[in-house]
Amino acid sequence: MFRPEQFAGYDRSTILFSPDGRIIQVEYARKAMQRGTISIGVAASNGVVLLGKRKMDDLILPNKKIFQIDEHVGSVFSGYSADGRYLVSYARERAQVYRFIYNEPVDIEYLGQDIASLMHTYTQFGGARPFGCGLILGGVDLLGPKLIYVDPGGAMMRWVAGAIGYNKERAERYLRDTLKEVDLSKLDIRDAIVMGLAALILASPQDLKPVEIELGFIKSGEKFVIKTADLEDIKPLYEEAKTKASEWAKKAGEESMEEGSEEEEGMV
Amino acid sequence: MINSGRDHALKGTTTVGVVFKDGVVIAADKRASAGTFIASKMAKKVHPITDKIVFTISGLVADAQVLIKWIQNYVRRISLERERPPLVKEVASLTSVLLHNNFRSLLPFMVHFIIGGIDQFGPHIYFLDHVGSIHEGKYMSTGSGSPVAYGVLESGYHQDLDEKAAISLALRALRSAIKRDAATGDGIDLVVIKDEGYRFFKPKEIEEYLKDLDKVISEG
Repeated sequence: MFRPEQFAGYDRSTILFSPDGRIIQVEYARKAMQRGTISIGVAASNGVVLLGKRKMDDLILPNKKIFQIDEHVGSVFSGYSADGRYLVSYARERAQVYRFIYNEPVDIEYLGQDIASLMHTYTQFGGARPFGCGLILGGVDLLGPKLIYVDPGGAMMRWVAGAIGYNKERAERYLRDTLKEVDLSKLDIRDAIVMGLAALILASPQDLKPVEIELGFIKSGEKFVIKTADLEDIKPLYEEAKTKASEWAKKAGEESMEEGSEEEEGMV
Repeated sequence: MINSGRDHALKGTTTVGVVFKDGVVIAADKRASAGTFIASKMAKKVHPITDKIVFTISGLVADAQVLIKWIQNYVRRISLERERPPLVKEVASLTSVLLHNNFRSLLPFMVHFIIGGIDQFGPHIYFLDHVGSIHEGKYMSTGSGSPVAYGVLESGYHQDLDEKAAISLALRALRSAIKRDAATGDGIDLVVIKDEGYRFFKPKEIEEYLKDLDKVISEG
């Protein structure tokens, strides 16, 4: 069978721990997530921004990457798009059920926990396959702006900023460096968008077109909106991000992204 | 069935809720009646759900007590999961869903509620009937004595009541109901909810207020 010998069969099911305490199928699921196109989230003091690289080439029209869950929440995922879409539809349903019962928009952390519980059940039963994608939720609720990451293993984390998907390491390096110089309690949504765009540009091949970047953001007190980077009002932010990205790359002494990618069919 | 629910809910009791500038006053009598028989002279009709949200019940006592337990249950769980206390509006909506589900499928809960509380959007009072409809208001009353109480509330309420004025208005409304409604009586429970949480008044404190009221009435 085609699999790494060192796992001695422990990677064949989610109901078996390996002797060193890992559920290896879940780690494979995480790998599937990292093969999808990149998704980025940044939380500002007065809002949240989500970004993603849309799948497109000469034959594929640009596909959706950011999904609205409710008026005040959006999401972006990396990995198997079929798995991700299921999570999006589940999240949308849960958000509406919450509205029905409590007459109030759903808490984002609570929604994240709900999705995490669903994903977790798929790591505990024989015959089930973990979700091959990770999901980032961003929105503003009664407690303020929230950025939540849900892992294929069913763990939920609150983020300041972060990335998943192909080349996320480089994006996260940039976010870490930039956030060091920023006062988080004063970070404006506009700066957060530029920061996210720069991280996405850095993690993408050089011929990235603005139309390939989809971003969704919400400002406190307003609704979640989805846009692409080639739009009039986003273009200046995109240009600003581009210069910031190249400045950082020069300072960090890193070459710009090499061509060619490992992203695969069916991955978003 | 709708009417039988209303009849049951109106067979005894008077409860009153009044909103003032920075809080809510809730008052209820203590008589539980079964026809002309007084089943209890110390019935508990004011039930805290969180430290800032309080229910009053009227109607079928068993239904009300069970429903209060359900709601306490839901609210405790949801507060832990969301890591924030619920809004008054959320608790009202939840209660409405529970009431209406039972109205549509089984027998309705034969209860009327006043939900009073304070949250980040200020003080609120809601009235819920046995079928689940929600009405928000500045002052509300339930039970068989509510027509009497409403008479006092209607004439006495104004926009800028302070805490003391709101308390005496609620007590005056309840006292009128005690005097003119046979199924209302046996003392008063009084609760004030402010930012720091709810507080049940001691009998002595209530007596103080009632003494003042007597003066008002005799002088008037």
